[in-house]
Amino acid sequence: METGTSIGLSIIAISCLLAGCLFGIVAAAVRPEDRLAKSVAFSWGFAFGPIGLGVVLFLKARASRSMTAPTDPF
Amino acid sequence: MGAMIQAKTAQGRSGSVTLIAIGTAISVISLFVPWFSGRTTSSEVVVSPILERALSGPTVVVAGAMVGGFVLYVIRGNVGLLGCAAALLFNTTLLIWLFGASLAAWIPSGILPTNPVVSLEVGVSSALMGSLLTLVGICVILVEQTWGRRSASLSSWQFLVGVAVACGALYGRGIPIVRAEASGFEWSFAADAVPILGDLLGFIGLAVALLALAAGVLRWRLGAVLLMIASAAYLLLAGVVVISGSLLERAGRTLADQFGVSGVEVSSLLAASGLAAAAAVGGLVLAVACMCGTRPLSVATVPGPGPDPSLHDGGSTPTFDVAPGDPGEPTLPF
Repeated sequence: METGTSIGLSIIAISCLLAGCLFGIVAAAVRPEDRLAKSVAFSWGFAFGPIGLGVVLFLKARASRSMTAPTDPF
Repeated sequence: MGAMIQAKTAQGRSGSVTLIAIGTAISVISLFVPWFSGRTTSSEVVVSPILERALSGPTVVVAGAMVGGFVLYVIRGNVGLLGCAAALLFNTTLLIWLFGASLAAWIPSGILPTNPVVSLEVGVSSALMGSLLTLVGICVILVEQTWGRRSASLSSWQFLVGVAVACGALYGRGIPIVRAEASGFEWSFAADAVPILGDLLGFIGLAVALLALAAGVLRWRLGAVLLMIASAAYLLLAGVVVISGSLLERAGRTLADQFGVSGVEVSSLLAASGLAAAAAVGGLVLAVACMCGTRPLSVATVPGPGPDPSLHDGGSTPTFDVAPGDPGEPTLPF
């Protein structure tokens, strides 16, 4: 019984680590390439999960907004 | 100028290494320390996660991930694995720490004796503190690498006060506030055993700890304002604990009745309230200092147009040379 509980909880812990890794991969994939290094984006997603992914998406949104902002011709 | 910025950032990174090393060490050591205990009139069981058979598996996984993540960070500069393991430990201990009164429901059956009174031990607070320090260090590193913001020196008094306030807020919750004594029997319980008041104290104490570390390390101005509010609330709540001593004594008698022990002398203690008040005052001082002090923001992260090769060097801190005011300047969200 106790061994089963230990194995089950271990699987949950490993799943959480893998889920964090998945967030890192997604964050590295959606990063703004000219603003953020790949390893930094991966670390944001891996370490902080959805919060880190949100930070990367925030940076991407800021970067794309600055790219599409109309420039003053004068 | 660029070399000076790089030197400052490298100095901050070495400070972050110290912070992360201390946090990782506290986290790993806390896994060997008792996390909670179950007491009955006849027996007492103390549970350490790594020594308990049902919990040893996940504990080894988390400890291995933290040590491996720290080695990976030192060798490769990648904080992802360490941050994920620290976040996992933080979330787990946070649930246990916040809802300690109902802890018996979280513990696998068979570990504790029948019908115990469960109380938190110092291991939970240590794991929470260690994982929090690790996460703050990782956050500092990632903020530096993303925005180039230079964090405060770890030897500054603001940082030390921030750590002290966080320790007081986290460890203070485990200090007994009511003691029950009878013939041949003595039992004391902390705030986590008191419904509503203990939970409220836990939430506000956690907010004070988080904001104190954020204000001490990042010198975050909005965080300082929030820290001031949280510290004031924490101070008020410490006063409520002192004033409502009779209520707590009554709660202690109720709990003592669960043992079936009569003639119990119940007395309220002031140590926990005193520590909470000290932490709250420290938080207020830190908040005022952070609000009045200059903001040590290194506005060095202004990327020029187009990809920067220094951004893709595998974890090194990017440096930028374009003047502020560029439309592409990444501004800090806080």
